[in-house]
Amino acid sequence: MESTSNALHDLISIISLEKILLIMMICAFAWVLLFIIQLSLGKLKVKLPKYRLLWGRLYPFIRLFIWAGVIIYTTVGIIAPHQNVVLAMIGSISIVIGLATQEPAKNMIAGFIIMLNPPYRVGDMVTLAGHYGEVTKLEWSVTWLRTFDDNTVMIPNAEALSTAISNANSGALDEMVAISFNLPVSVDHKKAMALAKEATQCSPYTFLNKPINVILGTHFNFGQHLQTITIKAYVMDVRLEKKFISDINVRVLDAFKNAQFYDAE
Amino acid sequence: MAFSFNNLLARSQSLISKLTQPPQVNDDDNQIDQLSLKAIAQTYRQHGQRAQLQAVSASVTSEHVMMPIGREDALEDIQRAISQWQNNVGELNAIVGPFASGLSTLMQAVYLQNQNNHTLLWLSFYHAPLSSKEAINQLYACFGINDEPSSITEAIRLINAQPRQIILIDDIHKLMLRRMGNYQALVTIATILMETRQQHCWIIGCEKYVWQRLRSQYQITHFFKTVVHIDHFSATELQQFLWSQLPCLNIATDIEIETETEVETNTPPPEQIALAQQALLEPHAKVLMQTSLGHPKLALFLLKQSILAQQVNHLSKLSSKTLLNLDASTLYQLDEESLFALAEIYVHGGLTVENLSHIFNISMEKSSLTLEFLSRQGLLITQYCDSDFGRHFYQITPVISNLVALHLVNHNKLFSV
Repeated sequence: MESTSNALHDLISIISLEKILLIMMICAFAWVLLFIIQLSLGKLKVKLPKYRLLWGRLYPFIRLFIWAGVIIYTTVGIIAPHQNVVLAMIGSISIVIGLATQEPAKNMIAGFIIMLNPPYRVGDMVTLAGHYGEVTKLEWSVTWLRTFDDNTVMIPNAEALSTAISNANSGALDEMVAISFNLPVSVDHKKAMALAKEATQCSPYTFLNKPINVILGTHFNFGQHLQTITIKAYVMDVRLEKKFISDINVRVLDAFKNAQFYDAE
Repeated sequence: MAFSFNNLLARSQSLISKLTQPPQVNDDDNQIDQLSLKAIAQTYRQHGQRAQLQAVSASVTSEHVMMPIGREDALEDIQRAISQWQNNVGELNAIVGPFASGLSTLMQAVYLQNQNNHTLLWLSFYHAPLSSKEAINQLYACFGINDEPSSITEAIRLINAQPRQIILIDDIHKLMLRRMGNYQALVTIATILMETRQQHCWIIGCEKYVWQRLRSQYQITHFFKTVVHIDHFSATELQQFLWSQLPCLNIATDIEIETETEVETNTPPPEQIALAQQALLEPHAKVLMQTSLGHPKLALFLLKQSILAQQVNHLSKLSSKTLLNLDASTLYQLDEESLFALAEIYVHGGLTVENLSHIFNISMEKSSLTLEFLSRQGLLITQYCDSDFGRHFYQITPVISNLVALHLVNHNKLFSV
């Protein structure tokens, strides 16, 4: 009976009002610090957009380290629990982890794995759970995407890890885009390939530091032979993907029409 | 404690905003300590001029050419390439540097160094060819060949039949245009240059980012053996340059040496006087180096405007703390489309309304409005063509070329190596 009252007394001494206030202050400080860091990174994104992927990637890590620091410091430095309490807590946490097959815990663990061994990062253009868009935020339990329709999609991290992920740019600002054109088989294919390449070079959105490839293929469709010209080129910025596709289409179609390719039939 | 937190938060936020915010918009163009881009553009004589556009005559006279500062190694490399050409091992040569890094001055120095020993030809283009035929025609015009261009083989034969000479092309960027047909035209020119390199010594001058684009599109580095890279001035070079320009700024630099009064007979040597005079410029040069990042035109412009603003007639009376600075806030407020347009104008060394309309696949009206907007921000200087608005010519204000290039690189609109 006496040992029970001692244990209770120990517990009360651990969670004294002073300590709670101090922990709250440290948490508030950490929150303010994170807010300032997020604000600074946001401003840097505007000022130096070329490095926006780097600024975007930094925040999840900074947040992880700051909160980990807060938890360790408050546990070891402020609460400083007795060995028995630590053992009791480990027991309790083990039970929680035992029950962690539940969705939130699964998502958090998946989020931790994504941060340590990232299949995608903030700023990447990915297909996640059937949605294609830019990763705008990477949180503990969820990943946020912005699609080209300007929709914001929230995907649980556990789901992101359990399916195949397609990453279009893997940490780079430029991204490869493939655009196909069908032409009658009678058209001069060499001229068509040259025109397609030159029209792509003329687009102000083409990233010229990487090669432009034009691939020729043929297929039989609706009772006629067609040649397919596929342009594989890099766009300067993943956000310009759709604009780039449209621009290339306009330029290549103009070039093909000027060369009277569609009048060949 | 709460007060401390609030105080800390307020201080941190103020510090962040100071560090990350672009300079405040300065509506008053006549403010003393900062010059707006608009005010700078207005100092150019040709800005806003209405006249028929004409090709600039290309000639080099020793009267107007000063020896380039800090380009001894570059001159040596080019001279070595010329010697090799003399020994029948001719290759293509290029001098690459950002706008206003003294590229033309360096090429003019090459011209003057060799004018007594060789036949020299100074070529300048003002029109980008859009077909092989146009390209050959332009080269024929440079050599004074009156034949009608028939084939590239014939062109190579005719150019090789010309007397051996050193050919300097100062503005190769004007041959490049992001339009259909230009690719083939440039390939034709490159082939002619390659096939005539034993007969003629070709030396071209090219802007840094234009070279980067030519390198990506045409693998131009595969064909040039000697590529001399130059950059803007270092601090010492800038000081030397400013010192050489002081006589044009109507500001006195003479000083009284203390020993003169004490011992009348002991006059200090002229070198000592010169060093003491140059020391007057040193603090100004340091400040101008920070502002201009070694861009000589910008540094000289700011020094000149500061002298005018402070109304001083002696260098010792000019305070380096009150030297004028740039207010580039308009540059920070540009949208994505304007930045893309600015990047193309930069790389092409200037564009007409018609060319911008072709490059961006937009109407002439939209193109004109975009260029006019940029011009009104002070980012471009304009030469209007009376007969056709499609031929109005817009180019980056030379003084701010480096500032614009850095901004475009940071915004991923120009790509560096």
